[in-house]
Amino acid sequence: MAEVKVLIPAVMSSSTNGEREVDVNGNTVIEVIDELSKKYGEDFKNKVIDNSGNLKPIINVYVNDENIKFLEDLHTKLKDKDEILFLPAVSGG
Amino acid sequence: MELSDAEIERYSRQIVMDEIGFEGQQKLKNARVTVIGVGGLGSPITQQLVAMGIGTVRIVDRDVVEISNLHRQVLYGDEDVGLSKAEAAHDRLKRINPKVMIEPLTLSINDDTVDEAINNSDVVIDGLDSVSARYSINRACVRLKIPYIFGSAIVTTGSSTSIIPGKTPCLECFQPALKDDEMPKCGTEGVHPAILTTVSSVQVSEAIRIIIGKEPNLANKLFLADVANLDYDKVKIIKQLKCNVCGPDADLTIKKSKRKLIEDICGREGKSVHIISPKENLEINLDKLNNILENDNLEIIRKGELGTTLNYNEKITVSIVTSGVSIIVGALEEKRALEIFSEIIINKLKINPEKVHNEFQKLLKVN
Ligand SMILES: [Zn+2]
Repeated sequence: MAEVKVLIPAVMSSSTNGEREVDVNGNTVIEVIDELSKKYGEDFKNKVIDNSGNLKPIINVYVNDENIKFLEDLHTKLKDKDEILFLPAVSGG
Repeated sequence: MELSDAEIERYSRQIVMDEIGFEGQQKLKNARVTVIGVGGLGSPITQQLVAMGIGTVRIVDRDVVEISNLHRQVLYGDEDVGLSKAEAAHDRLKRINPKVMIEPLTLSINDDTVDEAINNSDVVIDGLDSVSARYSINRACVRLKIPYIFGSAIVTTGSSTSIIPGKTPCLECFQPALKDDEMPKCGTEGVHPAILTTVSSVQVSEAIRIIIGKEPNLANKLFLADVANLDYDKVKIIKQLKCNVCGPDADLTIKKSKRKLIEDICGREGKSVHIISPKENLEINLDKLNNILENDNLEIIRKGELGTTLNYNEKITVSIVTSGVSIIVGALEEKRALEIFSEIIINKLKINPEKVHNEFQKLLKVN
């Protein structure tokens, strides 16, 4: 299993007990999301994954600064020391 | 242009600060800032810009003031309901600071109209509420190399960044591939006025720094805030090589033609609202329009300089702004809204339907 660092912006940290930097294990992005929900409960997963198991359109995930929409989405492979950032898109105004 | 003694007195509290200063104030006086959308974000943005003495503020909004806007869109009061926002904002801003040039435009923003909306601007500030219009602005600002201060807010959360073409990530680098119909809407989700003033203040301070020639604080960073718990931070964002707007393979000559002739906007005071946005600026002669409507015994409920609102019948009201954008409230179906638009704009005003849409007559039959 790859050991990766997850970065959570403050506005999403209510789903991770206020933690903003978390080390977890996972070989793909979806495995990391599953690990996070094991650790912090379903709230995190419900924030980022929709009912059909896809990443919600309003959530962007970056692996080492590259958007997984331009990679292999939730199945993007991870290696040790990768940094994963979750970024919510805010619409409206 | 130099500052007059009266201006030096008026702006003395910001001239005295290092952040702006005398030279900075002169640069503000010589600047033209375009604010796209004068709603929840655009109201406090334009209020601040105008009070601070920006030389020219262009305001672009296709919409009409509604009662449900008033809790957050602080430029407007009860007496403005039914008026074009560009016009009501112009009148209010002129009262705040008569020395500032205000350029009101009633355009709907899409790939066809965006250049007219933003040309000759030193900075463009986002007060929009739709993803597709933001993408049009982003593409045009990258193409024309105009700094674009992105801002957005919904419920209690907001975000902002300063997009400097050629230097920072653009909107499609950090929020690609969004679709309006997948996004939460202010009409159904609500929006807290305090997040709007938070985000708008951040946008104004960034715009001022850019005009004065200082480094913006949100270059390569996304400001994210939530007023429900006062969580906020600046998250690093990175230019994406595969970005189809600012990446090396991007082709900005392609229009994505995201413009929709007719949009169905749900949830406005429980009535269906259809907005029809013509392809071109129709430059409607409102005196002529008002005369025709009165001759046909249609009841005009609000006459403005930039728009007219009428009771089409007991259930349907229609607002027409000078660009030809028409907001039809209470028509049950798109077809009905298009018919009413066609009756007034094409039949009564005798405007060439091709200016509205290349295949307008066909659409009218199909719909
Ligand atoms: Zn980009």
